[in-house]
Amino acid sequence: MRFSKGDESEAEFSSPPLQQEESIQFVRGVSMAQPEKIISTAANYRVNVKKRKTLITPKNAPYFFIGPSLILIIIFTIYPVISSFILSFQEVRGAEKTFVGFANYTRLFHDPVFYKSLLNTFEILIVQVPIMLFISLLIAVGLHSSIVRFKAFFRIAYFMPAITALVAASIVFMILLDEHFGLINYLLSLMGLEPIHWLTSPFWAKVSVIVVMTWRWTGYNMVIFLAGLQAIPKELYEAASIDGASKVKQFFLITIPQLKPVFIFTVVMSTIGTLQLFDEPFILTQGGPNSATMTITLYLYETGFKYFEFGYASAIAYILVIIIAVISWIQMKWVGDLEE
Amino acid sequence: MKKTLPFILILLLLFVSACSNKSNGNEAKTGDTDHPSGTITVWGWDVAAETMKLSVEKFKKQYPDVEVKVEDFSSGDLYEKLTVGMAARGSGLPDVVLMEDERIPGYIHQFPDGFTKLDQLGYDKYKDAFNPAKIASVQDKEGNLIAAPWDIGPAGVFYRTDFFEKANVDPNSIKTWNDYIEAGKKIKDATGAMLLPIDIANYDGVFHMMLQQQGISYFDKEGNILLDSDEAIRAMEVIKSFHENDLILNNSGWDGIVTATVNGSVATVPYGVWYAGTIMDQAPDLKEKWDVFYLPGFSEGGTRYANVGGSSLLIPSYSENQSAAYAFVEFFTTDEETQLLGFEKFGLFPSLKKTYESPILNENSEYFNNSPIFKKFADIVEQVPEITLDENYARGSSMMSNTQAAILLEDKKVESALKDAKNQLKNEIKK
Repeated sequence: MRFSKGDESEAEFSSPPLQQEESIQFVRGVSMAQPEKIISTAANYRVNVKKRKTLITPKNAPYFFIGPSLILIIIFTIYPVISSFILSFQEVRGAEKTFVGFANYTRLFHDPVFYKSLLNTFEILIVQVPIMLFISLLIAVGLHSSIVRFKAFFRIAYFMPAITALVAASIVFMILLDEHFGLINYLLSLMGLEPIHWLTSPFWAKVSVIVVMTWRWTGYNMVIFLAGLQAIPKELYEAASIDGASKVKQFFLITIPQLKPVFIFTVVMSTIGTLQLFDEPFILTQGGPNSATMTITLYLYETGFKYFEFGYASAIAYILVIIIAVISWIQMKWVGDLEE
Repeated sequence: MKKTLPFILILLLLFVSACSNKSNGNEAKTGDTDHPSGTITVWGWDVAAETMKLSVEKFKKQYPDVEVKVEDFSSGDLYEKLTVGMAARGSGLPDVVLMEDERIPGYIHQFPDGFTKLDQLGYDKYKDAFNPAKIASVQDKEGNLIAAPWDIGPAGVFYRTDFFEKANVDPNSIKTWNDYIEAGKKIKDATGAMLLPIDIANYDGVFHMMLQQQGISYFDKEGNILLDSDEAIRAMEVIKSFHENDLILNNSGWDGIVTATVNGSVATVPYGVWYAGTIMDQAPDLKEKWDVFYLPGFSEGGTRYANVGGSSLLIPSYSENQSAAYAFVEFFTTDEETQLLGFEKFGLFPSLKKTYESPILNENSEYFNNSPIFKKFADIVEQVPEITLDENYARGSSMMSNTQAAILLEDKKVESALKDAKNQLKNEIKK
């Protein structure tokens, strides 16, 4: 199918003679004085528009372009979102679904495991994100400076974990952190230290999860910071040095303020990512011991796939969505207010 | 634009309805029962899947027209795929699936029409061929056979004969859990090995064995929660004293337990009979250094028998080729030779009664200190107390793992921790 202007003119040429005759008669009633040839073409054009409507016009063509992806988004994103919203008010058993009103939500607000998973997630968030962003910034500034050599190598080396399959990485960490047979405790024992119960004590299990997360995402954030650093105009630094500002002063008065949008981006992204934390605790600790590393998404998964409570799991998902939306909004708003 | 939008919507509707319309069917898909043919897919894991693969050859002799495709997943993956497939009304499901007995009530409860009732296909004629406790565990609440019984796991304590000798402990003297702890202390002094491995945060198997030998599980028949019963407190106290005496190797996961077994970090492993296969498989050079005694009792003369695990075969009702699926299930679970194949190769202990008379099962095992350990297990099959496994088993089990961690790692009091566990579980189940 065609839909350009050219399409219409082509259609015009190919119209059958009979139609032409018709149109001539039609126009004749309007004006007889005009030369026949011109009349016929103009009339032909008009009639053509009226009679043969092409399905696709320049106006609606874009919808056909976005159509396929729109359909996919509706099927795989919008439909599940809506149906899981409905599901969160239902109880599912086999193929049967019964509406239970707000029962899933009220149950959620009385569920100690949910609160614990919420608390765990925020503990990890508050400890992990600042540490990680600080290290990322440090590395980014280091790699941006002119002193460091082999920059490309370091950039790749730091970024590598972000593209490693998380399951494989977590399994490697599981082996490294094993209490009795792991490499890390072996090294500690060489230094004469007591072995640490990495995955089996509630406190150290959380630390392990934080370590693995930091390992994975530091390089990712570093790359974003690096991009931000490179976008800062050199003139600012030149002007500052002329005015006699020290390197440290330049860092705090130029680099940090200039990086602000990048900071906002990384903080929001890391927050959202941490709130959805799943893989690391799932593989390393399965949420244990005694729910010490149970995160919201892990709890969601367990209720859905271990206990078959799909409705309740959907309710958890929706509460998580609301939490993420509120926190992101606060972060944006807070930063926006500072900007004024 | 006004006209294209409805057009897109209609297209979409058609598309969506085309997607969802597919597998509504629950019509008879029995096929030709006398001469089953076609291809069937079977899901299993680990050595069980291996056994099924090995059995195909003989099966084909009886049913030359049936192709059997055995797919081997980890059990965790298998359950996830099964759950998703069931929730999606059957898409992507196999014709036969292996399942651990404690999982069956949960699946039947959640998907009441998800699995074919085997009595309808004539399996009820084998009811007497199996041990009754096993039959009880594969029935739904109305007494229909949902699964075909396969292996079971009478429990015992596997122990290192050389460690016991070195510590001068006589395994026959261990009659109660207290004796066991005393022996553990001696062995630790003499060899440095821990008494037993427990994945404290994730595995409450030892606790559950202790419940079962006292005749209960997490729930009774009426669905009452028994987590704060005297039996449970007694069992947890024993586990706590393991820990206080520093006799537990706290290890994460199955691999951790196997590693500990192989490299001599532990002197004993209380587990189901099928663990024999794992030991033989993973530690061939420890030949003659392992043997078995029955679980210690809570009092002298108390019951020393329990069951850990065991699995059965189910036919999802969405299977397109039920007759072939049934032919395979029937063959696989009732053919004596096939049952003994899994036993011989991997120590998978059959629940088919007539296999217990076979010479392989009764002879002395060379690996296990030349003692007839499998006969020992066969002898107790009938005496294992029958317990209630219901749809909340998975919840009960994970609640108990958490409580175990709270008691041992966070120093909670046994009684109050069990009471809390009971109340929380009650809340979760009540919804």
